[in-house]
Amino acid sequence: MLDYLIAGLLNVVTDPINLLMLIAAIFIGYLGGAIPGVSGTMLVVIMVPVTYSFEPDSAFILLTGIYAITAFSGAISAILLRTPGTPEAVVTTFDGYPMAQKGQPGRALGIAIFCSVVGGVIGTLCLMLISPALANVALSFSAPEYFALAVMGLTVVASLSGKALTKGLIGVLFGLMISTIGMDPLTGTLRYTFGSSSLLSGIDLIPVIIGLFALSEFLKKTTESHAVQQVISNVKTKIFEMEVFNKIKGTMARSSIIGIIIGILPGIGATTASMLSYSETVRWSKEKEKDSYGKGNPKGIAAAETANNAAAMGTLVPLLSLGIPGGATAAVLLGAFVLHGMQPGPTLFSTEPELMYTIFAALLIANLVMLIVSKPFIKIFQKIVNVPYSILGPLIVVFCVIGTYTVRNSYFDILVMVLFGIIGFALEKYRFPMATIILGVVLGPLTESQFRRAVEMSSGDFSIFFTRPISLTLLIISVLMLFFPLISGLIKKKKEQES
Amino acid sequence: MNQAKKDYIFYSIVIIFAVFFLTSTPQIQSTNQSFIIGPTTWPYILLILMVFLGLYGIVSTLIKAKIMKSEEITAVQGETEPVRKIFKLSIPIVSLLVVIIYVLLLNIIGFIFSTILFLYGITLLLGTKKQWTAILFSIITMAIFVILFSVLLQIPLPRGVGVFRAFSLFFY
Repeated sequence: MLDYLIAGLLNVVTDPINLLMLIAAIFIGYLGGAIPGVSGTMLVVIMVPVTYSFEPDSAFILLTGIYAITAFSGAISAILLRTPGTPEAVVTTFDGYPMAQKGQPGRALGIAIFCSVVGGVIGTLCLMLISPALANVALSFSAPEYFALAVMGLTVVASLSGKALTKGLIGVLFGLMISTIGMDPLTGTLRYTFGSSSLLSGIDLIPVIIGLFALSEFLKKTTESHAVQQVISNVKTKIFEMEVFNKIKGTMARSSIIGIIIGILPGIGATTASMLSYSETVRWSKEKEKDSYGKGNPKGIAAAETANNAAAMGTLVPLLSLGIPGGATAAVLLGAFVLHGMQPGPTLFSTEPELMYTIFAALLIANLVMLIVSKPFIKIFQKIVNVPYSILGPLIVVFCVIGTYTVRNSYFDILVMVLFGIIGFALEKYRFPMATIILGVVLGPLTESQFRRAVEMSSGDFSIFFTRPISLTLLIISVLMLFFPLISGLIKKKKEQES
Repeated sequence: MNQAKKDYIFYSIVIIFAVFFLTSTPQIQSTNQSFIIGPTTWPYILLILMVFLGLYGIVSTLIKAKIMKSEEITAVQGETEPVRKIFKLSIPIVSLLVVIIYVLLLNIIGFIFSTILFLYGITLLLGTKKQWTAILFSIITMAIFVILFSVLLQIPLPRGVGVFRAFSLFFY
């Protein structure tokens, strides 16, 4: 493994194009993540089509690099503006902004940077250790297990949809339906093409993602006020202070573990991880210290930033080892793999080991580079944060259009993108969990084809899914995951009634 | 519109969608009969589940709405903020229309002209006050996009038809 990692590191550092991609990733990640209104998911979404003509190595260095950086960069505006640059940084505002207001913005940023690096590096190391091992186990899987795995991936819907489980399930079914349009991969039969030649090859994933996530987001943002914001100025970032480190080291250790575990569980994501880690940190604190949370306690920042960066890396475990996206951005990355002609999953470690370890190396470097690059970036942050949305928004739209067009040079895809933008914008009003549709579209082909293959394997006997131990276990876990929110809700209600 | 009403509309659309696809599923002609599970089984499973979920949604909204009524809604809608409107349409709707027009024009007058027009229009719509800023922004941005994508990354952007096609060939 170590040789592969060294080869990966060399591949990133010695190839000029790869190095350029890494630098670009860092730059874009900082810029996009720090500006409120551009989330990490959206950045990766817009960049996927740009990478179309790149070599897979360069493409994934760029995409995963951006992903790693945005896990941190949202914290800058969270601390200096009280507006999280990305959703993951919401919890960072709790203690980060009060601390900055008290005249210590440099210390708050320093803690955020240091903890992000620690969380990110530990997360990446776990990713490197766990995913090849998990992939190895998954290599012995055959159709029924894959189907069960895909079903487990689909049950992520339960955590993606929060309270609106019915709507989430409808979203997944809608996504699965979209993926049936076009030529059936097993028999070559045309389905739901309604005589249109553009629909023969089906509806591509990228226009759907861009429409739902980027265009609809643009339409939503057009109403929000974008007045020039007051940024806390005169910031001298202090990345490492022994005195602070001694205070937060316990919190960092605990938060990394929470972050990784939450990250690996499909669909829960970095935002939840930082929330949970924050509440755990408060719970574990001494009674007299509890009041200081929300008023600039360094442990609060540490809890949030360590956990969300560790979780961001953890989310990649199920994606790279099993081909199951752990969250919205991971689903987009899965789309990127497909775009480059690969299907993420256990075989990728044996067919493309170099690419895998190049990705790990890039993540590791991106996380470490934050220590050096953050300081100068924060200096220019005050200038870029006030780019008005009337400039930023239109740029996003043109990116959406070009991005969609690049994939297949198809004008039809642009129309699909706009259609899904409208669908996304309309569904937003119903508080519809959008990521569920992506989940369905992404996992649709896998779920259907493995289901059918498994039934062929058993010559029509459906019990094949329940007689094989691994597939049975995975299906039981899926059912539990799907109903977990319901069960935990019931338990909570009961507890409340008792008290 | 209250939440219950919105939900009724949503679930009805879901059911209509599913029923529409259910009725067009039998028209799928399987080209290969040797498989145990044909190309229509999977869509049938999905669509039937969808209809059930839609019905479940309507029923559960009905029950919820009844409970809500008995508790009587006293909450006052807090939307007093004046909303900027153009031709009685809200800004997102106008933006959406502008995007649709942009995309339709893209295939006719090509990337260069449609992008300039779009950027100019939308920046003014979203609140840029100065004419010159909008004009300069739209032309410079378009140029950057063309250089970056068509020239450097060799991605062929839409050229349009006729004269516009000929014009675009000068640049990329």
